[in-house]
Amino acid sequence: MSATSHPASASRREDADLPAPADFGVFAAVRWAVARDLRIALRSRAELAVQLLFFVIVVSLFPLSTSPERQLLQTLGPGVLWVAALLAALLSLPRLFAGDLADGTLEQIALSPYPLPALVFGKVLAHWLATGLPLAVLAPLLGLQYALPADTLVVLVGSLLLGTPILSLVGAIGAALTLNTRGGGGLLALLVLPLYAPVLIFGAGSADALRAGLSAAPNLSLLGAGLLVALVGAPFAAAAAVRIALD
Amino acid sequence: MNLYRFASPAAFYPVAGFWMPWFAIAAAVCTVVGLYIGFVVAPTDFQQGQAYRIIFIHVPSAWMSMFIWLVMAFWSLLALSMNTRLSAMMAQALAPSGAWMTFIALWTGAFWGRPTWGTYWAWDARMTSELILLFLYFGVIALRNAIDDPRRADRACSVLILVGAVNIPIIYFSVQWWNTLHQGASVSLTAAPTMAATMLAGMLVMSLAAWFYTIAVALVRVRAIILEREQGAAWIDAPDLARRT
Amino acid sequence: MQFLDMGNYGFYVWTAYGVTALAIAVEVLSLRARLRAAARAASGVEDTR
Repeated sequence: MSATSHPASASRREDADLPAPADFGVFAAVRWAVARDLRIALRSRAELAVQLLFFVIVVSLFPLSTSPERQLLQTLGPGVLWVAALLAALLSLPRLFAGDLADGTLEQIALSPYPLPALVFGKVLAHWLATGLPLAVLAPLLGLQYALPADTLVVLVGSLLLGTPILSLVGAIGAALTLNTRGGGGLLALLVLPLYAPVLIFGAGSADALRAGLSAAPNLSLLGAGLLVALVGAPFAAAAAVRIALD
Repeated sequence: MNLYRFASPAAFYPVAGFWMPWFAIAAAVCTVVGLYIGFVVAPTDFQQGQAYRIIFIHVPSAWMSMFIWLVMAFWSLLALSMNTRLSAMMAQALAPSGAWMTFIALWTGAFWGRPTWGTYWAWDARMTSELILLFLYFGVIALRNAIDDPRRADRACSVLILVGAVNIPIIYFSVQWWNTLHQGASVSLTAAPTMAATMLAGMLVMSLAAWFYTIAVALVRVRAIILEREQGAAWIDAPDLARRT
Repeated sequence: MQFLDMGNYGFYVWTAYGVTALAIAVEVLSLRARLRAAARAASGVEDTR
């Protein structure tokens, strides 16, 4: 895509000016990265819309592949929504670093005095705000297609709010590792999807537990614990992977 | 003695060549002894009949499949922290062995499950984790193949292996969690409660065989990797290699 | 014959062992080919095949 046809890429580089080195703190780095990536994401709203549509279409196709029977849909619903969320995250992950690598911003970021894990975390946060959060907001609407009761919908949204950040965090490691490789999207899927298995289990399991008459709290707590682990570890692993890709 | 001397591929190449046959021989001897104990000495299981004899390859390969990832993680940690080339090569050499062991564990598990539990595949916690482990091994191999610069591939794969090492216990726990929630849907798979001493002995000897085999194969593979990556290096005795091939 | 029959479980036992043997054979043979190719390339000998 050429710079003239795409306003987002034309002004990408201008956004790359890092804040004045008043303080090289973590928070300044995170704030700067979030603001910049959100600005870029908002400029390419069409792409964000396509991702959401993908999520909607995948979820809407499942009943056609089985049957519109209410009971079956209620059983399948949470799982289908979660698998679709995984795939939608996978679809958006390559753009997390690829654009910045192509126009040299990533190198500039890595050489800056700001801590790279903080900058990577900011980018991941922006990625989640642009892709994960909309999925969670949209989920209740799609849940209605599957005749999910209100309490299940609440739990489902809660599990997505806790779980989709993990998808962005762990996915960032995979996205950084596959930079400059010949594998493409298929390789990213191979690396990341097995690592997503626990998120899928606890996420879809929270709604399942409710349907089985149990409390969803254990599943949600485990998701929260997973989120904490990912928050602590993933930015460092992804930053290491970014440095390796830039070598 | 300075162990660090062997950290260079050039120094390790002849060492690996010297030890490989001994490990291969040990693997062969242990296999023969283990299979003799397993098929001749060990009695028929009163519950599972003769079908249980698959255990002598299933359990060792399942152990190896998990243990190899741990060893790979160790080498990866060394490769990233000390920036040694040989340790990354060791991790690279072990990945295909790990994938093979995982495949064998899955296959023998399926053919043990059919006669004893009536199904080739059950979404049991151990089987499901093993399947995900196989995908993780494929991921490491695929990432290696997708990066042209071997030094970059070394470090990228090391990061992936370490991330996987953190994740494997979480995956196992999550699958087990999921399994208990859906108890009614799956078969409850518990091993035979008691095991004759000879069965255990056969299993342990076969485990030794799996260890020695893996070490021998990894040594050969690391030699091939060293030759592939050090082409044209001064230490390579080209005339000698030419004579041998 | 009784040994091969494995108390009617012969199919399962021998398929498991057979595929394991096959996997080991494939790994060993492909590894040998790989080592030879690497040695040939490193020795500077032109591929004469």
